[in-house]
Amino acid sequence: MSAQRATEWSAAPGSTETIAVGLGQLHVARAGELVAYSLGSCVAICLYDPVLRVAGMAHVVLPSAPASDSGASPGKYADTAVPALLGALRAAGAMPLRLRCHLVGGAAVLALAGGALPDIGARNVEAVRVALERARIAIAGEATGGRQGRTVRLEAATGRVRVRAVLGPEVEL
Amino acid sequence: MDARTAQGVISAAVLRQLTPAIEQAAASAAGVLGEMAGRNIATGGVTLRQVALAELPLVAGDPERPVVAVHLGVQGATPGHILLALSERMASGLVDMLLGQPEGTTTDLDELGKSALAEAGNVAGSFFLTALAERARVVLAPTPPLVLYDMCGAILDTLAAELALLACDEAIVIETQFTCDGQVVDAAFFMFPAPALLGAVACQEVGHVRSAGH
Repeated sequence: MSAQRATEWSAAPGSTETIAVGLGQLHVARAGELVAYSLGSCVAICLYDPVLRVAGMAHVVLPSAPASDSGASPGKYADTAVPALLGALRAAGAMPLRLRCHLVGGAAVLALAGGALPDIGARNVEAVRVALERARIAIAGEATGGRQGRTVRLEAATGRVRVRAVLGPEVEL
Repeated sequence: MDARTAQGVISAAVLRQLTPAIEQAAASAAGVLGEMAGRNIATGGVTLRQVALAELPLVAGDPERPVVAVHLGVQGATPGHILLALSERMASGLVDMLLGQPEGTTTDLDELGKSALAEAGNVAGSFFLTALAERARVVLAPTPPLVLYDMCGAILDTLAAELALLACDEAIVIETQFTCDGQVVDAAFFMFPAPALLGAVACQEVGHVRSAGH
């Protein structure tokens, strides 16, 4: 799959379609809702142009792409997801200066006292921050870290970002 | 059995060949769980499949479904993960069985309940792992059990990231459902092994079949 094909587009404006953004995917939508379900250590990057009303989301799995990476899934890695998502939004007419950014996820779901497993969540969040800083995108809000997973929804018509943890209420960022 | 072959991880034929060994390991885990709970716990079917990592958070159904889970990491030459996932109701019921309490006693999982579940997951997971390791003739050790309460998909999302760290694009999923006193219960046992482990088991199985044939 080429990098271009890894960027998916939503239905036409006016649609109320919910588009699930799976692991390693990135999507841009002019209507409906982009959703990353049950993020654990993964991080959802949510970008929104309020003038054009176009939304983009990437579901990042790991901090950085290995040297051997084919580039088939730019949304999978923090260092490739940010430029790829920006490119897709630019192609849709969005202006980087106008973009509002929210981050969700990066939990230490499997964190043990003593840390037997690496905290991929924290490393993902940090890598996304670095990539956003490099692209000069400020973070407007976030729900990151902690021990529990989250679902995030980004509404294309309004840019509203809603987050819910297990059995918790949905909160707007 | 949904056993797609991709990325050269493991072939459908090998997956089929592994099923008896997996079933025996699962029966071993169910048996010890039954002994601990004082009930007749058996496996209600074992499936072995290969899925894209992107689909891993969906293998247990609705990813937002809350579950109580016991996680064991697998250490050794072929790392992997073991997960015992239960609905909240089933987790409370299992705690009552494990602690010899009347059904319905446990309503919230306290530290004692979590400890009982951790021990049950640890013993069942270790039996399963030992059975497979013996087949593969490798040494595998579980990490200490970790009891989690979260969205099922969030746990699987994190395991997918752990497997992605090992440069896997696909995951092999071993799933076992359980019955308790003949009734299907809302509990599932998952193992996400490294392909190398199953390759080693398959090699031994081939050797076993050849030896038996002579």
